Amino acid sequence: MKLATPLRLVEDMPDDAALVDGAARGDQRIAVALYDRLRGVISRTVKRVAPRSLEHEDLVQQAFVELISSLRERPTVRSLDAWAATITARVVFHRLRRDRLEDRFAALDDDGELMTTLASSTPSPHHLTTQREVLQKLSRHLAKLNPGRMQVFVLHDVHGYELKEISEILSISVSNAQTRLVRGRKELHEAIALDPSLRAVLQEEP
Amino acid sequence: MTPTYDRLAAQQLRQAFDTLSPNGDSPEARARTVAAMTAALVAPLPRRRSVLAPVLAVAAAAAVVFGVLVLRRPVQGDFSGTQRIELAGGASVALTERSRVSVFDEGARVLIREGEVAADVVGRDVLLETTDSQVYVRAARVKVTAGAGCDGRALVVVNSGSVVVTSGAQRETVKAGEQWPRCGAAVNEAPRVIETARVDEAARVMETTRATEPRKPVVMTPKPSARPHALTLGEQNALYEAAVLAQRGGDLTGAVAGLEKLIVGAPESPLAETALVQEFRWLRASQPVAAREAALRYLARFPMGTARAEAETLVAARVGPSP
Repeated sequence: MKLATPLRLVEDMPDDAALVDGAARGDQRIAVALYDRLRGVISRTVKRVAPRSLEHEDLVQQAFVELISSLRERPTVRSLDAWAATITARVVFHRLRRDRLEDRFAALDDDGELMTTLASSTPSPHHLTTQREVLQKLSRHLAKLNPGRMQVFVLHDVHGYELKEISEILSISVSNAQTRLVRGRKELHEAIALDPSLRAVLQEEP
Repeated sequence: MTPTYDRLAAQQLRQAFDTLSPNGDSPEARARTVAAMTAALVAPLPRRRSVLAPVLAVAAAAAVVFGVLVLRRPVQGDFSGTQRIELAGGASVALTERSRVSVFDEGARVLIREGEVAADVVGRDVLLETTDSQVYVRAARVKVTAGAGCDGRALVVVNSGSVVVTSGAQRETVKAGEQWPRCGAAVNEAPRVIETARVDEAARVMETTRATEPRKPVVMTPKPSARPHALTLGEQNALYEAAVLAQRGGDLTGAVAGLEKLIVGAPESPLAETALVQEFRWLRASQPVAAREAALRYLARFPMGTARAEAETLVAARVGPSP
Protein backbone atom coordinates (compact mmCIF):
# COMPACT_ATOMS: atom_id res chain seq x y z
CA MET A 1 0.00 0.00 0.00
CA LYS A 2 1.35 3.41 -0.93
CA LEU A 3 1.34 5.24 2.37
CA ALA A 4 2.03 8.88 2.96
CA THR A 5 5.22 7.90 4.78
CA PRO A 6 7.80 5.65 3.11
CA LEU A 7 7.69 1.97 3.84
CA ARG A 8 9.45 1.13 7.05
CA LEU A 9 11.26 -2.12 6.95
CA VAL A 10 10.91 -4.27 10.02
CA GLU A 11 14.66 -4.51 10.34
CA ASP A 12 14.95 -0.72 10.53
CA MET A 13 12.28 -0.36 13.16
CA PRO A 14 13.21 -2.10 16.39
CA ASP A 15 9.80 -1.31 17.82
CA ASP A 16 8.00 -2.98 14.95
CA ALA A 17 10.48 -5.83 14.92
CA ALA A 18 9.91 -6.38 18.64
CA LEU A 19 6.16 -6.31 18.15
CA VAL A 20 6.30 -8.76 15.28
CA ASP A 21 8.63 -11.02 17.22
CA GLY A 22 6.40 -10.87 20.28
CA ALA A 23 3.33 -11.71 18.23
CA ALA A 24 5.14 -14.62 16.63
CA ARG A 25 6.05 -15.97 20.07
CA GLY A 26 2.54 -15.42 21.43
CA ASP A 27 3.73 -12.89 24.00
CA GLN A 28 0.64 -11.38 25.65
CA ARG A 29 2.54 -8.30 26.75
CA ILE A 30 2.68 -6.86 23.25
CA ALA A 31 -1.12 -6.62 22.91
CA VAL A 32 -1.43 -3.10 24.26
CA ALA A 33 1.64 -1.83 22.43
CA LEU A 34 0.44 -3.28 19.15
CA TYR A 35 -2.99 -1.77 19.66
CA ASP A 36 -1.55 1.66 20.27
CA ARG A 37 0.81 1.34 17.35
CA LEU A 38 -1.75 0.30 14.74
CA ARG A 39 -5.10 1.51 15.95
CA GLY A 40 -4.96 4.62 13.73
CA VAL A 41 -4.03 2.69 10.59
CA ILE A 42 -6.68 0.08 11.13
CA SER A 43 -9.44 2.49 12.05
CA ARG A 44 -8.69 4.72 9.09
CA THR A 45 -8.64 1.75 6.74
CA VAL A 46 -12.00 0.57 8.03
CA LYS A 47 -13.43 4.02 7.42
CA ARG A 48 -12.05 4.08 3.90
CA VAL A 49 -13.24 0.71 2.69
CA ALA A 50 -16.22 -0.25 4.84
CA PRO A 51 -19.71 1.13 4.40
CA ARG A 52 -21.10 3.00 7.36
CA SER A 53 -23.68 0.29 7.92
CA LEU A 54 -21.01 -2.01 9.32
CA GLU A 55 -20.02 -1.61 12.97
CA HIS A 56 -16.70 0.20 13.00
CA GLU A 57 -15.36 -1.06 16.33
CA ASP A 58 -16.28 -4.64 15.55
CA LEU A 59 -14.28 -4.49 12.36
CA VAL A 60 -11.33 -2.88 14.13
CA GLN A 61 -11.31 -5.59 16.77
CA GLN A 62 -11.60 -8.35 14.21
CA ALA A 63 -8.80 -6.80 12.17
CA PHE A 64 -6.49 -6.81 15.21
CA VAL A 65 -7.27 -10.46 15.93
CA GLU A 66 -6.64 -11.42 12.32
CA LEU A 67 -3.44 -9.41 12.31
CA ILE A 68 -2.11 -11.29 15.33
CA SER A 69 -3.00 -14.63 13.79
CA SER A 70 -1.26 -13.67 10.56
CA LEU A 71 1.86 -12.48 12.39
CA ARG A 72 2.04 -15.71 14.36
CA GLU A 73 1.82 -17.72 11.17
CA ARG A 74 3.90 -15.46 8.90
CA PRO A 75 6.08 -13.15 10.96
CA THR A 76 8.13 -11.76 8.05
CA VAL A 77 6.27 -8.65 6.94
CA ARG A 78 8.05 -5.80 5.20
CA SER A 79 5.92 -3.03 6.64
CA LEU A 80 3.67 -3.37 9.63
CA ASP A 81 1.47 -0.46 8.52
CA ALA A 82 0.95 -1.84 5.03
CA TRP A 83 0.33 -5.30 6.37
CA ALA A 84 -2.18 -4.04 8.91
CA ALA A 85 -4.01 -2.10 6.19
CA THR A 86 -4.11 -5.17 3.99
CA ILE A 87 -5.38 -7.40 6.76
CA THR A 88 -8.00 -4.83 7.69
CA ALA A 89 -9.26 -4.53 4.14
CA ARG A 90 -9.36 -8.30 3.93
CA VAL A 91 -11.51 -8.46 7.05
CA VAL A 92 -13.85 -5.82 5.65
CA PHE A 93 -14.24 -7.50 2.28
CA HIS A 94 -14.74 -10.85 3.92
CA ARG A 95 -17.60 -9.35 5.89
CA LEU A 96 -19.01 -7.74 2.74
CA ARG A 97 -18.97 -11.08 0.95
CA ARG A 98 -20.56 -12.82 3.91
CA ASP A 99 -23.31 -10.23 4.11
CA ARG A 100 -23.64 -10.05 0.32
CA LEU A 101 -22.72 -6.39 0.29
CA GLU A 102 -19.95 -6.59 -2.29
CA ASP A 103 -21.24 -3.58 -4.17
CA ARG A 104 -21.08 -1.39 -1.06
CA PHE A 105 -17.37 -1.47 -0.48
CA ALA A 106 -16.69 2.14 0.28
CA ALA A 107 -17.96 5.00 2.36
CA LEU A 108 -19.45 6.63 -0.73
CA ASP A 109 -22.86 5.14 -0.18
CA ASP A 110 -23.26 7.16 3.02
CA ASP A 111 -21.77 10.55 2.43
CA GLY A 112 -22.91 12.06 5.70
CA GLU A 113 -19.69 11.80 7.67
CA LEU A 114 -17.50 12.02 4.63
CA MET A 115 -19.18 15.22 3.56
CA THR A 116 -18.95 16.68 7.03
CA THR A 117 -15.26 15.93 7.06
CA LEU A 118 -14.83 17.39 3.63
CA ALA A 119 -16.73 20.50 4.64
CA SER A 120 -14.35 21.16 7.48
CA SER A 121 -11.39 20.98 5.15
CA THR A 122 -12.88 22.59 2.07
CA PRO A 123 -11.88 26.16 1.41
CA SER A 124 -15.20 27.35 -0.03
CA PRO A 125 -18.89 26.42 -0.03
CA HIS A 126 -18.81 26.28 -3.82
CA HIS A 127 -15.99 23.79 -3.78
CA LEU A 128 -17.79 21.69 -1.20
CA THR A 129 -20.94 21.63 -3.33
CA THR A 130 -19.00 20.65 -6.41
CA GLN A 131 -17.15 17.92 -4.61
CA ARG A 132 -20.36 16.58 -3.08
CA GLU A 133 -21.92 16.49 -6.53
CA VAL A 134 -18.94 14.74 -8.01
CA LEU A 135 -18.85 12.14 -5.23
CA GLN A 136 -22.54 11.45 -5.49
CA LYS A 137 -22.35 10.96 -9.22
CA LEU A 138 -19.29 8.81 -8.94
CA SER A 139 -20.99 6.79 -6.23
CA ARG A 140 -23.91 6.11 -8.50
CA HIS A 141 -21.67 5.11 -11.39
CA LEU A 142 -19.56 2.82 -9.24
CA ALA A 143 -22.68 1.15 -7.90
CA LYS A 144 -23.90 0.40 -11.42
CA LEU A 145 -20.68 -1.10 -12.72
CA ASN A 146 -19.23 -4.55 -12.11
CA PRO A 147 -18.59 -4.80 -8.34
CA GLY A 148 -15.53 -7.02 -8.70
CA ARG A 149 -13.86 -4.60 -11.10
CA MET A 150 -14.84 -1.55 -9.12
CA GLN A 151 -13.45 -3.09 -5.93
CA VAL A 152 -10.06 -3.49 -7.55
CA PHE A 153 -10.23 -0.05 -9.13
CA VAL A 154 -10.97 1.66 -5.82
CA LEU A 155 -8.45 -0.39 -3.85
CA HIS A 156 -5.69 0.23 -6.38
CA ASP A 157 -6.28 3.64 -7.89
CA VAL A 158 -7.95 5.33 -4.93
CA HIS A 159 -6.55 3.65 -1.81
CA GLY A 160 -3.15 2.78 -3.22
CA TYR A 161 -3.04 -0.96 -2.58
CA GLU A 162 -0.68 -2.94 -4.79
CA LEU A 163 -2.00 -5.76 -6.91
CA LYS A 164 -0.32 -8.32 -4.65
CA GLU A 165 -2.09 -6.82 -1.64
CA ILE A 166 -5.39 -6.76 -3.52
CA SER A 167 -4.98 -10.41 -4.35
CA GLU A 168 -4.63 -11.05 -0.59
CA ILE A 169 -7.61 -8.89 0.26
CA LEU A 170 -10.01 -10.31 -2.30
CA SER A 171 -8.57 -13.86 -2.37
CA ILE A 172 -7.94 -13.69 -6.09
CA SER A 173 -4.83 -14.10 -8.19
CA VAL A 174 -2.62 -11.17 -9.07
CA SER A 175 -3.34 -11.63 -12.76
CA ASN A 176 -7.06 -11.66 -12.04
CA ALA A 177 -6.67 -8.44 -10.06
CA GLN A 178 -4.77 -6.92 -12.95
CA THR A 179 -7.45 -7.91 -15.44
CA ARG A 180 -10.17 -6.51 -13.22
CA LEU A 181 -8.27 -3.29 -12.82
CA VAL A 182 -7.80 -2.73 -16.54
CA ARG A 183 -11.40 -3.56 -17.32
CA GLY A 184 -12.70 -1.58 -14.37
CA ARG A 185 -10.85 1.53 -15.48
CA LYS A 186 -12.18 1.15 -19.02
CA GLU A 187 -15.69 0.54 -17.76
CA LEU A 188 -15.65 3.61 -15.54
CA HIS A 189 -14.11 5.77 -18.23
CA GLU A 190 -16.82 4.79 -20.68
CA ALA A 191 -19.55 5.37 -18.11
CA ILE A 192 -18.29 8.86 -17.28
CA ALA A 193 -17.85 9.64 -20.96
CA LEU A 194 -21.59 9.15 -21.34
CA ASP A 195 -22.30 11.55 -18.45
CA PRO A 196 -21.68 15.10 -19.79
CA SER A 197 -22.25 16.90 -16.49
CA LEU A 198 -19.86 14.71 -14.52
CA ARG A 199 -17.38 14.81 -17.36
CA ALA A 200 -17.45 18.58 -17.35
CA VAL A 201 -17.03 18.83 -13.59
CA LEU A 202 -14.16 16.38 -13.54
CA GLN A 203 -12.39 18.29 -16.25
CA GLU A 204 -12.88 21.54 -14.37
CA GLU A 205 -11.56 20.25 -11.09
CA PRO A 206 -7.84 20.76 -10.51
CA MET B 1 -2.07 13.89 -22.94
CA THR B 2 -5.67 14.18 -21.78
CA PRO B 3 -6.24 12.21 -18.57
CA THR B 4 -8.83 9.51 -18.86
CA TYR B 5 -12.02 9.98 -16.88
CA ASP B 6 -11.28 7.07 -14.64
CA ARG B 7 -8.02 8.71 -13.65
CA LEU B 8 -9.81 11.99 -12.88
CA ALA B 9 -12.42 10.11 -10.90
CA ALA B 10 -9.75 8.28 -8.91
CA GLN B 11 -8.08 11.59 -8.16
CA GLN B 12 -11.32 13.07 -6.85
CA LEU B 13 -12.03 10.05 -4.70
CA ARG B 14 -8.49 9.96 -3.36
CA GLN B 15 -8.73 13.58 -2.28
CA ALA B 16 -11.99 12.91 -0.51
CA PHE B 17 -10.80 9.79 1.29
CA ASP B 18 -7.56 11.41 2.34
CA THR B 19 -9.55 13.76 4.54
CA LEU B 20 -10.84 10.89 6.64
CA SER B 21 -9.20 10.43 9.98
CA PRO B 22 -9.43 7.52 12.41
CA ASN B 23 -12.39 7.29 14.71
CA GLY B 24 -11.95 8.30 18.30
CA ASP B 25 -10.83 5.57 20.64
CA SER B 26 -13.14 4.72 23.52
CA PRO B 27 -11.85 3.00 26.68
CA GLU B 28 -14.45 0.26 26.38
CA ALA B 29 -13.59 -0.53 22.80
CA ARG B 30 -9.91 -0.44 23.62
CA ALA B 31 -10.31 -2.82 26.58
CA ARG B 32 -12.43 -5.16 24.57
CA THR B 33 -10.04 -5.21 21.63
CA VAL B 34 -6.93 -5.68 23.79
CA ALA B 35 -8.62 -8.59 25.57
CA ALA B 36 -9.43 -10.17 22.22
CA MET B 37 -5.86 -9.63 21.05
CA THR B 38 -4.48 -11.20 24.22
CA ALA B 39 -6.66 -14.23 23.71
CA ALA B 40 -5.52 -14.44 20.09
CA LEU B 41 -1.88 -14.35 21.16
CA VAL B 42 -2.21 -17.42 23.38
CA ALA B 43 -4.82 -19.33 21.40
CA PRO B 44 -3.57 -22.44 19.60
CA LEU B 45 -2.88 -21.68 16.01
CA PRO B 46 -5.40 -23.09 13.61
CA ARG B 47 -3.97 -26.11 11.92
CA ARG B 48 -2.45 -24.99 8.69
CA ARG B 49 -4.23 -26.57 5.83
CA SER B 50 -1.86 -28.90 4.15
CA VAL B 51 -0.97 -28.03 0.60
CA LEU B 52 -1.48 -31.70 -0.10
CA ALA B 53 -5.07 -31.61 1.09
CA PRO B 54 -6.54 -30.31 -2.18
CA VAL B 55 -4.37 -32.74 -4.13
CA LEU B 56 -5.51 -35.62 -1.96
CA ALA B 57 -9.10 -34.51 -2.24
CA VAL B 58 -8.85 -34.43 -6.02
CA ALA B 59 -7.13 -37.82 -6.02
CA ALA B 60 -9.87 -39.28 -3.82
CA ALA B 61 -12.55 -37.87 -6.09
CA ALA B 62 -10.73 -39.23 -9.12
CA ALA B 63 -10.50 -42.63 -7.45
CA VAL B 64 -14.23 -42.64 -6.83
CA VAL B 65 -14.93 -41.66 -10.42
CA PHE B 66 -12.46 -44.27 -11.60
CA GLY B 67 -14.16 -46.88 -9.43
CA VAL B 68 -17.56 -46.01 -10.76
CA LEU B 69 -16.60 -45.71 -14.39
CA VAL B 70 -13.85 -48.27 -14.77
CA LEU B 71 -13.87 -50.83 -12.01
CA ARG B 72 -17.58 -51.42 -12.41
CA ARG B 73 -17.14 -52.08 -16.08
CA PRO B 74 -17.49 -55.73 -17.04
CA VAL B 75 -14.33 -57.68 -16.40
CA GLN B 76 -12.16 -58.19 -19.45
CA GLY B 77 -8.58 -59.18 -20.21
CA ASP B 78 -6.11 -61.91 -19.36
CA PHE B 79 -6.12 -63.78 -16.05
CA SER B 80 -4.03 -66.58 -14.65
CA GLY B 81 -3.50 -68.45 -11.41
CA THR B 82 -5.95 -69.41 -8.70
CA GLN B 83 -8.67 -66.82 -8.59
CA ARG B 84 -12.35 -66.22 -9.09
CA ILE B 85 -13.52 -63.89 -11.81
CA GLU B 86 -16.91 -62.32 -11.45
CA LEU B 87 -18.44 -61.84 -14.86
CA ALA B 88 -21.28 -59.47 -15.56
CA GLY B 89 -24.80 -60.76 -15.00
CA GLY B 90 -24.08 -63.00 -12.03
CA ALA B 91 -21.82 -65.52 -13.74
CA SER B 92 -18.43 -66.41 -12.35
CA VAL B 93 -15.50 -68.58 -13.31
CA ALA B 94 -12.91 -70.02 -10.96
CA LEU B 95 -9.37 -70.68 -12.13
CA THR B 96 -6.96 -73.22 -10.71
CA GLU B 97 -3.29 -72.68 -10.10
CA ARG B 98 -2.06 -73.30 -13.63
CA SER B 99 -5.02 -71.85 -15.45
CA ARG B 100 -4.72 -69.09 -17.97
CA VAL B 101 -7.73 -67.47 -19.59
CA SER B 102 -8.68 -64.46 -21.61
CA VAL B 103 -12.06 -62.82 -21.15
CA PHE B 104 -13.67 -61.11 -24.14
CA ASP B 105 -16.92 -59.44 -25.08
CA GLU B 106 -17.55 -57.99 -21.63
CA GLY B 107 -17.37 -61.42 -20.02
CA ALA B 108 -19.59 -63.21 -22.51
CA ARG B 109 -16.68 -65.23 -23.92
CA VAL B 110 -13.90 -66.91 -21.96
CA LEU B 111 -11.02 -68.48 -23.84
CA ILE B 112 -9.27 -71.12 -21.77
CA ARG B 113 -5.72 -71.04 -22.99
CA GLU B 114 -4.43 -73.45 -20.42
CA GLY B 115 -5.57 -75.38 -17.36
CA GLU B 116 -8.95 -75.85 -15.77
CA VAL B 117 -11.89 -73.49 -15.29
CA ALA B 118 -15.00 -74.08 -13.21
CA ALA B 119 -17.90 -71.92 -14.30
CA ASP B 120 -21.06 -71.13 -12.45
CA VAL B 121 -23.36 -69.39 -14.87
CA VAL B 122 -26.69 -67.87 -14.06
CA GLY B 123 -28.64 -65.15 -15.71
CA ARG B 124 -26.75 -64.96 -18.98
CA ASP B 125 -25.06 -67.06 -21.64
CA VAL B 126 -21.34 -67.59 -21.43
CA LEU B 127 -19.21 -69.21 -24.08
CA LEU B 128 -16.23 -71.14 -22.74
CA GLU B 129 -13.68 -71.84 -25.45
CA THR B 130 -10.55 -73.85 -25.74
CA THR B 131 -8.41 -73.96 -28.84
CA ASP B 132 -10.40 -76.96 -30.08
CA SER B 133 -13.83 -76.79 -28.47
CA GLN B 134 -16.60 -74.41 -27.55
CA VAL B 135 -18.93 -74.86 -24.62
CA TYR B 136 -22.15 -72.85 -24.56
CA VAL B 137 -23.27 -72.49 -20.98
CA ARG B 138 -26.62 -71.21 -19.76
CA ALA B 139 -27.74 -71.70 -16.18
CA ALA B 140 -25.28 -74.50 -15.50
CA ARG B 141 -22.25 -75.41 -13.45
CA VAL B 142 -19.53 -76.89 -15.57
CA LYS B 143 -15.84 -77.62 -15.44
CA VAL B 144 -13.75 -77.35 -18.60
CA THR B 145 -10.15 -78.49 -18.78
CA ALA B 146 -8.09 -77.69 -21.84
CA GLY B 147 -6.46 -80.70 -23.51
CA ALA B 148 -7.59 -83.17 -20.80
CA GLY B 149 -10.07 -85.14 -22.91
CA CYS B 150 -9.31 -88.73 -23.89
CA ASP B 151 -8.73 -87.63 -27.48
CA GLY B 152 -6.57 -84.68 -26.56
CA ARG B 153 -9.35 -82.17 -26.84
CA ALA B 154 -11.01 -80.36 -23.96
CA LEU B 155 -12.66 -82.27 -21.14
CA VAL B 156 -16.10 -80.97 -20.18
CA VAL B 157 -17.75 -82.14 -16.96
CA VAL B 158 -21.26 -80.84 -16.21
CA ASN B 159 -22.34 -80.67 -12.56
CA SER B 160 -25.75 -79.09 -13.01
CA GLY B 161 -27.84 -77.91 -15.92
CA SER B 162 -26.73 -78.72 -19.42
CA VAL B 163 -24.31 -77.29 -21.94
CA VAL B 164 -23.78 -77.54 -25.66
CA VAL B 165 -20.31 -78.54 -26.79
CA THR B 166 -19.07 -77.86 -30.29
CA SER B 167 -15.81 -79.20 -31.61
CA GLY B 168 -14.99 -79.14 -35.26
CA ALA B 169 -18.18 -80.16 -37.02
CA GLN B 170 -19.35 -82.02 -33.97
CA ARG B 171 -22.04 -80.61 -31.73
CA GLU B 172 -23.42 -82.27 -28.67
CA THR B 173 -25.56 -81.51 -25.66
CA VAL B 174 -24.01 -82.60 -22.38
CA LYS B 175 -26.27 -82.86 -19.35
CA ALA B 176 -25.70 -82.83 -15.62
CA GLY B 177 -23.59 -85.79 -14.49
CA GLU B 178 -22.17 -86.36 -17.97
CA GLN B 179 -18.83 -85.53 -19.43
CA TRP B 180 -17.54 -84.89 -22.91
CA PRO B 181 -15.94 -86.45 -24.92
CA ARG B 182 -17.18 -90.02 -24.26
CA CYS B 183 -14.31 -91.76 -25.97
CA GLY B 184 -14.51 -95.07 -24.07
CA ALA B 185 -18.20 -95.51 -24.71
CA ALA B 186 -17.89 -94.67 -28.34
CA VAL B 187 -15.91 -97.81 -29.15
CA ASN B 188 -18.71 -100.22 -28.42
CA GLU B 189 -21.72 -98.02 -28.96
CA ALA B 190 -23.42 -97.41 -32.20
CA PRO B 191 -22.08 -94.28 -33.83
CA ARG B 192 -23.66 -91.24 -32.22
CA VAL B 193 -25.64 -88.83 -34.23
CA ILE B 194 -23.11 -86.17 -34.99
CA GLU B 195 -24.34 -82.87 -36.12
CA THR B 196 -22.09 -82.21 -39.03
CA ALA B 197 -22.02 -78.50 -38.74
CA ARG B 198 -20.69 -75.97 -36.33
CA VAL B 199 -23.62 -73.84 -37.08
CA ASP B 200 -26.57 -74.16 -39.37
CA GLU B 201 -24.82 -72.09 -41.96
CA ALA B 202 -21.87 -74.45 -41.93
CA ALA B 203 -24.21 -77.37 -42.57
CA ARG B 204 -25.71 -75.58 -45.52
CA VAL B 205 -22.28 -74.75 -46.87
CA MET B 206 -21.15 -78.33 -46.57
CA GLU B 207 -24.31 -79.56 -48.30
CA THR B 208 -23.65 -77.11 -51.08
CA THR B 209 -20.11 -78.34 -51.33
CA ARG B 210 -21.21 -81.92 -51.60
CA ALA B 211 -23.76 -81.01 -54.25
CA THR B 212 -21.39 -79.01 -56.40
CA GLU B 213 -18.14 -80.81 -55.92
CA PRO B 214 -17.39 -84.48 -56.05
CA ARG B 215 -14.96 -84.05 -53.15
CA LYS B 216 -15.65 -86.29 -50.26
CA PRO B 217 -16.20 -84.31 -47.05
CA VAL B 218 -13.58 -84.66 -44.40
CA VAL B 219 -14.52 -87.45 -42.01
CA MET B 220 -14.73 -86.06 -38.50
CA THR B 221 -15.76 -89.29 -36.79
CA PRO B 222 -14.18 -89.84 -33.42
CA LYS B 223 -14.15 -93.57 -33.91
CA PRO B 224 -10.73 -94.57 -32.58
CA SER B 225 -10.34 -97.56 -34.79
CA ALA B 226 -10.89 -95.40 -37.85
CA ARG B 227 -8.27 -92.84 -36.93
CA PRO B 228 -4.97 -93.03 -38.70
CA HIS B 229 -1.87 -93.82 -36.81
CA ALA B 230 -0.11 -90.93 -35.15
CA LEU B 231 2.27 -89.23 -37.53
CA THR B 232 5.81 -88.59 -36.45
CA LEU B 233 7.20 -85.09 -36.61
CA GLY B 234 9.25 -86.02 -39.64
CA GLU B 235 6.18 -87.36 -41.42
CA GLN B 236 4.28 -84.18 -40.58
CA ASN B 237 7.06 -82.04 -42.03
CA ALA B 238 7.26 -84.23 -45.11
CA LEU B 239 3.52 -84.03 -45.67
CA TYR B 240 3.50 -80.27 -45.38
CA GLU B 241 6.52 -79.87 -47.63
CA ALA B 242 4.99 -82.16 -50.25
CA ALA B 243 1.75 -80.18 -50.15
CA VAL B 244 3.59 -76.92 -50.68
CA LEU B 245 5.59 -78.35 -53.58
CA ALA B 246 2.40 -79.72 -55.17
CA GLN B 247 0.69 -76.35 -54.89
CA ARG B 248 3.71 -74.62 -56.44
CA GLY B 249 3.62 -77.18 -59.23
CA GLY B 250 -0.03 -76.36 -59.95
CA ASP B 251 -1.44 -79.57 -58.42
CA LEU B 252 -4.04 -78.01 -56.15
CA THR B 253 -5.91 -81.25 -55.57
CA GLY B 254 -2.73 -83.02 -54.52
CA ALA B 255 -1.72 -80.09 -52.35
CA VAL B 256 -5.06 -80.01 -50.53
CA ALA B 257 -5.01 -83.76 -50.10
CA GLY B 258 -1.57 -83.54 -48.52
CA LEU B 259 -2.76 -80.87 -46.10
CA GLU B 260 -5.79 -82.98 -45.23
CA LYS B 261 -3.58 -85.93 -44.41
CA LEU B 262 -1.62 -83.74 -42.06
CA ILE B 263 -4.71 -82.14 -40.46
CA VAL B 264 -6.50 -85.42 -39.89
CA GLY B 265 -3.41 -87.48 -39.14
CA ALA B 266 -1.86 -85.04 -36.69
CA PRO B 267 -4.59 -82.76 -35.39
CA GLU B 268 -2.42 -81.61 -32.49
CA SER B 269 0.53 -80.88 -34.72
CA PRO B 270 2.01 -77.40 -34.55
CA LEU B 271 1.56 -77.43 -38.32
CA ALA B 272 -2.17 -78.14 -38.13
CA GLU B 273 -3.20 -74.50 -37.88
CA THR B 274 -0.85 -73.50 -40.67
CA ALA B 275 -2.19 -76.32 -42.83
CA LEU B 276 -5.79 -75.24 -42.32
CA VAL B 277 -4.93 -71.65 -43.16
CA GLN B 278 -3.03 -72.66 -46.26
CA GLU B 279 -5.93 -74.83 -47.36
CA PHE B 280 -8.50 -72.04 -47.42
CA ARG B 281 -5.98 -69.65 -48.94
CA TRP B 282 -5.09 -72.00 -51.75
CA LEU B 283 -8.73 -72.82 -52.44
CA ARG B 284 -9.92 -69.23 -52.23
CA ALA B 285 -9.20 -68.29 -55.83
CA SER B 286 -10.41 -71.38 -57.66
CA GLN B 287 -12.86 -73.10 -55.29
CA PRO B 288 -14.52 -70.46 -53.09
CA VAL B 289 -17.14 -72.78 -51.65
CA ALA B 290 -14.50 -75.29 -50.55
CA ALA B 291 -12.36 -72.44 -49.31
CA ARG B 292 -15.26 -71.18 -47.22
CA GLU B 293 -15.75 -74.63 -45.77
CA ALA B 294 -12.06 -74.79 -44.89
CA ALA B 295 -12.30 -71.37 -43.29
CA LEU B 296 -15.24 -72.51 -41.18
CA ARG B 297 -13.30 -75.54 -40.06
CA TYR B 298 -10.37 -73.31 -39.19
CA LEU B 299 -12.58 -71.01 -37.12
CA ALA B 300 -14.13 -73.95 -35.32
CA ARG B 301 -10.76 -75.43 -34.54
CA PHE B 302 -8.86 -72.23 -33.82
CA PRO B 303 -11.42 -69.63 -32.76
CA MET B 304 -8.67 -67.35 -31.56
CA GLY B 305 -6.20 -68.26 -34.29
CA THR B 306 -3.89 -65.81 -35.97
CA ALA B 307 -5.83 -65.95 -39.25
CA ARG B 308 -9.19 -65.48 -37.60
CA ALA B 309 -9.99 -62.17 -39.28
CA GLU B 310 -9.00 -63.50 -42.68
CA ALA B 311 -11.14 -66.61 -42.23
CA GLU B 312 -14.12 -64.59 -40.98
CA THR B 313 -13.86 -62.32 -44.00
CA LEU B 314 -13.88 -65.31 -46.27
CA VAL B 315 -16.87 -66.86 -44.51
CA ALA B 316 -18.80 -63.62 -44.67
CA ALA B 317 -18.08 -63.11 -48.38
CA ARG B 318 -20.79 -63.86 -50.90
CA VAL B 319 -20.05 -67.21 -52.52
CA GLY B 320 -21.00 -67.81 -56.08
CA PRO B 321 -20.88 -71.07 -58.03
CA SER B 322 -17.45 -72.56 -58.46
CA PRO B 323 -15.85 -71.73 -61.77
